[in-house]
Amino acid sequence: MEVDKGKGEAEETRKVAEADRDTVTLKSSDGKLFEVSKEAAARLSTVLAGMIAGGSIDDNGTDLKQIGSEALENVVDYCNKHANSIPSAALISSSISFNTAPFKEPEEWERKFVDRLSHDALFDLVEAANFLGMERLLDVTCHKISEMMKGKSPDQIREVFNIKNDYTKEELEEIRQELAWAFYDD
Amino acid sequence: MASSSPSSSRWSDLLPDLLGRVIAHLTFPGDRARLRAVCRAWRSAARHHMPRRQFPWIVLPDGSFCTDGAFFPRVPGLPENVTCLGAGGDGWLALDRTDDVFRRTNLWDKLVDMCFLRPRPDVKHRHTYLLYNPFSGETVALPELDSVVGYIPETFEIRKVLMRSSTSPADDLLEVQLMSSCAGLHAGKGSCVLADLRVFDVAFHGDRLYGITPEEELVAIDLAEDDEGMPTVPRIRRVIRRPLADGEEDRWSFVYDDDDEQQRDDEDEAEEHDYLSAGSSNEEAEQEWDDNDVPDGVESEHLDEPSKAYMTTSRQLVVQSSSCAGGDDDEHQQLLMVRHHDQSPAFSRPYTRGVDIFKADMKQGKWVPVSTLT
Repeated sequence: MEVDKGKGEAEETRKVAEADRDTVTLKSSDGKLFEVSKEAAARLSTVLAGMIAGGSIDDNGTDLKQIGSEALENVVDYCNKHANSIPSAALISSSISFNTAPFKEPEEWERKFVDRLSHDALFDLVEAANFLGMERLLDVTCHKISEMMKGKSPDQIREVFNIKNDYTKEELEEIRQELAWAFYDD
Repeated sequence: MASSSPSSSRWSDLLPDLLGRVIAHLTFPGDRARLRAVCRAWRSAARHHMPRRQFPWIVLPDGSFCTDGAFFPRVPGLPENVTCLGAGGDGWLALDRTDDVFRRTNLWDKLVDMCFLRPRPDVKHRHTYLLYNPFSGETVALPELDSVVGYIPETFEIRKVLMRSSTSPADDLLEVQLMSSCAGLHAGKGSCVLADLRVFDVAFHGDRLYGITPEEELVAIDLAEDDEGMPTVPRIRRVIRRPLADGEEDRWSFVYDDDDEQQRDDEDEAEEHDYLSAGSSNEEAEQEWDDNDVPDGVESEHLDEPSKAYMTTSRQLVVQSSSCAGGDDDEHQQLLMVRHHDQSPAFSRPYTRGVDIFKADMKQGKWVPVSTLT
């Protein structure tokens, strides 16, 4: 039946059909569209896996109203990079885990991936990962955030994260006494 | 959240669940504590996401450890080439850094042709010792112990490392039990060695060090520092004595006794004898040891009845902190001697035949049997 149609058009249809099979289109809160491998999305995000399985994926772009375009771009970027990297056995077998299961160190590319992000982008990414139920990405981002805190004094942490000190002087003194053992600089 | 305007409070608004995940990645308790001091929001979020409780770590000599049902191959930040000797206090590990490969070889690799390799008394190695706290990352070198121990044969062991105050090893006295003697150390200041003390287990009780001898006598060792911080031992005395048999001579009085300490009456000793009749069998076991050998509180006896199997008895000195309020007060701490009887039948695995627990009654100079622990 496709014989009647032009050759170019047939090509076009096939391309679309292929896209339908292998990728999903995600739409950020500000209306930008991103394509991501369906396999990677389902493997890395419990929420997207549920949407794919439940058929609630919109071919014209699934609305993710909670996620801005910059964060979504990073999410998609992460999924694609992950799809290209060799999936490590430990990651897949992470279901056998204790509550305190030893965290598997980020791989080199994951480290680079979060290292290049600005603080704001990191903040958005960790919330996006949380929204989409992306366990591994959450681990990698939270690990990065913890790295930014290690060995720092509360003052230095506030400076790094631009957090306002909302304790009163008295409260601060109280905390200092309570946690005196934790402050190296005393 | 879609807005990208950098606002000062965004990080303090991080979802508590996410902050909990971040906390899970902070292994040092000090980092977790400092996080709570950052702002109110983090403090209240952290309150719900601190680990339910801090479980103890069981650290094995090769540096692996277990906690909360999980096994970890290595203590974070542990230096290379070390063997773990023990825990000195809250979170402090005593480490032995050495080129002695024998010591670092695990048991299964020592099995060659169905025979376990044994340490050799004629092969000596250099050792250096340090304290390491995996929670804060601090390290304290112990050059004093290096100089006390020096080059040692593979058979040498450090039995126990104790810290008088559990938090600040750099400022306080340490106690190290070598094979047959004890050494008091003050990191960076000096050491004093008590040779031939004949104690096989020691424990701090309050500020004083206590040890038990093969005769189950309890010895109190006063530790002090001179003006330069050098540890000294002004006095050693026996707190609990072994009851002597009729006409028996107290062979160790020259080690422990000051003349002014002879203030016990005979009635007490007779009473003691009733419930600690093991005293005389100790004597026999102890005579089998060479002068250079170590009285380590383990004795073996061959029993004719009923099982015709070896029974070994080992003893340990344990400080029990009672759970009631103010538990770290001396008044609420008890010094216990745990006597552990192991039966080793000829063709099956050894098993525990019994455990006796005694409480040190220092005023009466007696071991009092304890039936229940509170």
